[in-house]
Amino acid sequence: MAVVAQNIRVSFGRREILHAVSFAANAGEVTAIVGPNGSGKTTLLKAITGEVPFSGSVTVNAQDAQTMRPEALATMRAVLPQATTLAFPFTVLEVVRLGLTAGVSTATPEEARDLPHTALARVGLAGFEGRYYAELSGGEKQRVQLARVLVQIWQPVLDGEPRWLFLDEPVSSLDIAHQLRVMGLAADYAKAGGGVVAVMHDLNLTAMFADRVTLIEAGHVGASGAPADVLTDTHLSRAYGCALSMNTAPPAGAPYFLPQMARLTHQAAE
Amino acid sequence: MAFFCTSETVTAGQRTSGDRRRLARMMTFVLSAVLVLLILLSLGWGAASDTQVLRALFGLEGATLRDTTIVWDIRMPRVLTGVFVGAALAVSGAVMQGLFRNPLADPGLIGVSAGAAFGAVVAIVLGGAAPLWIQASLGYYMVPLAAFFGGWVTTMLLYAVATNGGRTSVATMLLAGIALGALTGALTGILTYYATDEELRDLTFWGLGSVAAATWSKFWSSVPLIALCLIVAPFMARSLNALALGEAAAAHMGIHVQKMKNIAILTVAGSVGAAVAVTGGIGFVGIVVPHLLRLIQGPDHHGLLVNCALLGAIMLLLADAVSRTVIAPAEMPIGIITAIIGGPFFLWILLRNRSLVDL
Repeated sequence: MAVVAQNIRVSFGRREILHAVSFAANAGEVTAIVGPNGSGKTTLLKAITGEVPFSGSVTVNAQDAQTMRPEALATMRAVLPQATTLAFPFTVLEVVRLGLTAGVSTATPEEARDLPHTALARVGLAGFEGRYYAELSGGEKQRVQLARVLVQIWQPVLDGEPRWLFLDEPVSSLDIAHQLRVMGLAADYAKAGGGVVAVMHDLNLTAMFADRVTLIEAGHVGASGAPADVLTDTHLSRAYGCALSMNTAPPAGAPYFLPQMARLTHQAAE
Repeated sequence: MAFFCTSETVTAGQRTSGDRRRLARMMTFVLSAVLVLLILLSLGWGAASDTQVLRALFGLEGATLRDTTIVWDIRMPRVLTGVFVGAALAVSGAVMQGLFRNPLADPGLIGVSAGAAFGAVVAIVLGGAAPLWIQASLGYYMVPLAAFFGGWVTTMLLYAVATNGGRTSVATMLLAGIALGALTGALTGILTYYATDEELRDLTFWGLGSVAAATWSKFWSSVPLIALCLIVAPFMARSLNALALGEAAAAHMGIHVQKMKNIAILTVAGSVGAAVAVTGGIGFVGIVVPHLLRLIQGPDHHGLLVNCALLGAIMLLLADAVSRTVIAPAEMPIGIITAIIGGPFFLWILLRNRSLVDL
């Protein structure tokens, strides 16, 4: 089971943002979409989730996403936007509960009562239930929204079919501990049989958590495949237009990236 | 493998008996509405006493023809018009606020009422020039239908101007509402200039709003469109809740956003048009009532829309009671009362919302 997008073209006015991009993500994996600012990664995610008009095809679990009923699609996948503002003074619990009303409900009344609290605990916001959403910090808001989309598709596998979590820069406003917590949640979701597609800025977190990586460069696919094949000095230095070198962190041997320029400046200072 | 192990973090204190509380609140509103309605029936010219009113109301022994006429033919249409118009304005306000994602959207503020009033004025002043078969077939329905059409066209224009690439700009919407309100106001002014004395009396009443002129025929001509809105609105609760997160997020949650918007605009324009047709422009009910309820019970549209109808009815009846007693035996137009209460309230909302809503 997979999410497959083929020959995706997206234009804003006369300008084509994505030029026949093809993309695939498998259930049971975290697939990261990386690339420089303005390369089209978020646009690709928005095309896959049907938020922007596009030409090409998108299938979710072998079903055409463009012809699926909205309820069926919402039952199969949830989307976390970059930022969400709210029009009314909703409390945190009320926002998370909205996830229960999405698509076709699969929760029993007991589960429906407990799930929002559980989800809030999973994103590190236990005890925030009664707080007003508008009064939270950017990072807290982002985690409340994550709890909401987790509640929407709380079972990673439903009737033998994987469900999908689409995340648009899920850790952009989080501190380092919460970055790890949220990416860990995404990895757990994939491990439990669901599929995760995440637009990522942080290459180190991508190297740490992604099972597959698609690198978008100026509206094209620059490279796609296992992290070791995509996150290379050559690909990244070319895509981002600055010298990047991969190193391995001592204890676990995890790869990490350091911009060469920063290093040189640092050495010069010494 | 279970991704969520439910019940792991839930303590008994977090579970609330929300349903029972919601029901109790709704019943309180229902009872208050009935009580206010009965009080209103015993107010006014003719001075039938409370017991006489009750006798006439239920056709009991001892009810005189005079009392029965006063209660059933004079007071009842007026009171029921107040009930339905109050409900229509409050529910329409709540739906518009949900649709535009703005707690300050109100049919009166964004020009929908002005558009509806213009439609009604066109029907009053130019209706006599319409072909006889149209006049004959529409009858009493001509003014409410024209008001509905005026409200509908204004709402559609507003939406078209304020929506770009599927996103509705709140700032553009409010500004466009002011512009459209000014334009329809000017057009109404031109028609006023050409109106006869008798038509002018009818027109003056639109400016201030009043339930004093309510009759059974006017009531029945406006009820279908209002009832439609009151019946349809609660079914939009889930969609309006999702829409609070934005149109894209609502679509991701399985809401047919465009379809829902079309239904909301049509029903709101219909009910506001019908309300304006029978009572003229009564401001601020659509903004004060939903806001008060959000303070009491939170912004969830599920309980909000039904309670808006109830509290809207109560508020309008109370305003009517004030309008009849404050300078008795004369009456102050009800629109003046709602504006005196609503204006300062609106300012208070503005100040309060600076911290709780991030738009």
